[in-house]
Amino acid sequence: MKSLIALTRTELKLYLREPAAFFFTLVFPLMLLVLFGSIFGNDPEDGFDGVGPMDASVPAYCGLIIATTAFMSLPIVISTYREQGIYRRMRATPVKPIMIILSQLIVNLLLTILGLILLFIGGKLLYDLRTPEQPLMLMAMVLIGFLSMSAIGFLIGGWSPTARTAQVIGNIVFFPQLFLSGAALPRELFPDALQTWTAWLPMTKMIDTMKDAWNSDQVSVTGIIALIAIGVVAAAISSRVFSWE
Amino acid sequence: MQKDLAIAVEHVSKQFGDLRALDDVSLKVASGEIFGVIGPNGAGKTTLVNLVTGMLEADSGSVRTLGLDPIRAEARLRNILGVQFQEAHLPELIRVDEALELYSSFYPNPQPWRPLAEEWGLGAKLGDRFGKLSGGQKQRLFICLALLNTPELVVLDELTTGLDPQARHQSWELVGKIRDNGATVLLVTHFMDEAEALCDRIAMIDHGNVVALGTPGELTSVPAGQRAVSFTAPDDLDLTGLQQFGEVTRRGTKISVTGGEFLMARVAGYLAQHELDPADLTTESSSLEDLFLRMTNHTDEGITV
Repeated sequence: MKSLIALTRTELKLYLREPAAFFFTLVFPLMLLVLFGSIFGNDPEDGFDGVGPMDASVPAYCGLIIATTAFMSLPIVISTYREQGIYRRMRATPVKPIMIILSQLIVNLLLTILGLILLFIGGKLLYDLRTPEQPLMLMAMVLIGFLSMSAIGFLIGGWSPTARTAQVIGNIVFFPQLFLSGAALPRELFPDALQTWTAWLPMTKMIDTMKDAWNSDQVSVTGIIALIAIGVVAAAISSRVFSWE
Repeated sequence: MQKDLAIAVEHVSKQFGDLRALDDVSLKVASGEIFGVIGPNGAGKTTLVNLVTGMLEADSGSVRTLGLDPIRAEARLRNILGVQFQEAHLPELIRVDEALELYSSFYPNPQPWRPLAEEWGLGAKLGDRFGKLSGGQKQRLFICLALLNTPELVVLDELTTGLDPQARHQSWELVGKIRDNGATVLLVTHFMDEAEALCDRIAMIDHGNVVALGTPGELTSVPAGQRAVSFTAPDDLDLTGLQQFGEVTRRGTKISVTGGEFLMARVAGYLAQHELDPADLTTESSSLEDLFLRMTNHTDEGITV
């Protein structure tokens, strides 16, 4: 426990010393909020199932925050630590490997929550954002989405032989989904065929379940099952391919 | 299991693909020794370190470190073992005090890190980032991390590689200090002079085999009849008179005589009779490097003196 707290505190400090990661997690989503808010406003529209464009978009930006920590930051940290022998040094101490993994997840979760709070406050102040219909369910969906995407991030970082590879694969996983899952551009604006195809992306599933919990009184059960399945499969594979050195 | 043995390696082999990194290696390290492992790059030194510290499992044979099986009793071993690896690192952005604090948290009963850092000359560097430290400072930090749990055995893998001569000699003093504090030291190096200066006993490894084992004195002692004396002499010196003492060879003005007992006294006496007093008259001592070259048939690849 002592080591988990120390690891988490250290990793958090190190994260805050990297301005690039900081920008994508905390600043970029706010920029999208202001940019698209100023274009679309937040008056209820039929195209957005009767809620305002920003009410529909903020859950998507939450997905963006989770995805940046899971696909951009996590794989690079893991593969860099392995490549540079940082994990090798830790392995020579009694610290349990699960503590190292947990500390990384906790740091990313704390940053995600901070990002969500900033986004919520910004949305409230600027566009009179809806208060979530199912706050507890929303929190559960944030957590499930976070764990599921992080499992994919662990798989990328654990499998990649170098930090450079991890970065490239992370980008390949992240950027198409950024535009196709509705994280940056509302999927409601897509042509029908594209909407159908992109509905099956992991990030789309995460964003849609959060959107349900925020703006309606139900959540798609298939969405939840899909997210859990993705997380379990990715975690199972990464536990096989992961190496500390 | 003998309790007075810090390390007992018996008939250990380890294979990586086609490469036989260690081939039926046996060696014992007594408690309180500074034991050196020397050999060229790729000889199997790091594999040996990995086996002894529980980072790797042997294909065959038995390894006992501080009386424990390094794989099966890994958790217990980690608490009483300190390691400084050749290829291990800290995040560039971590500060020295943060690294010490973090690694202290990994042990149930760490010693206070602040006095340790002072003792190792890092007191003024606590607020500096790891990436900004010099090579010598990084090494001292890694040693501090290895000592946090007051280990019974400290493994130092290529401690001084990449350091300037002054920093290397400083590190040598520090290794003596570790042993004076009661720990056994396994020192892995490819510097022959380092092993000779620091170690109580040395194992020389090449191609996965122990090719020589003993104290530095034993390893470098020259058999009678193979001692050599050399000096610079004028071209017109009559060499035939020297031949009564042994075999004489001349390279330019440099004369060397290889022979038996009292060689130095006899050669010196002969020179004095001829009123010669060469300033560079010396006994050519066999060094670990000579032995090394003889044992391994390497030229100068991977060996630094």
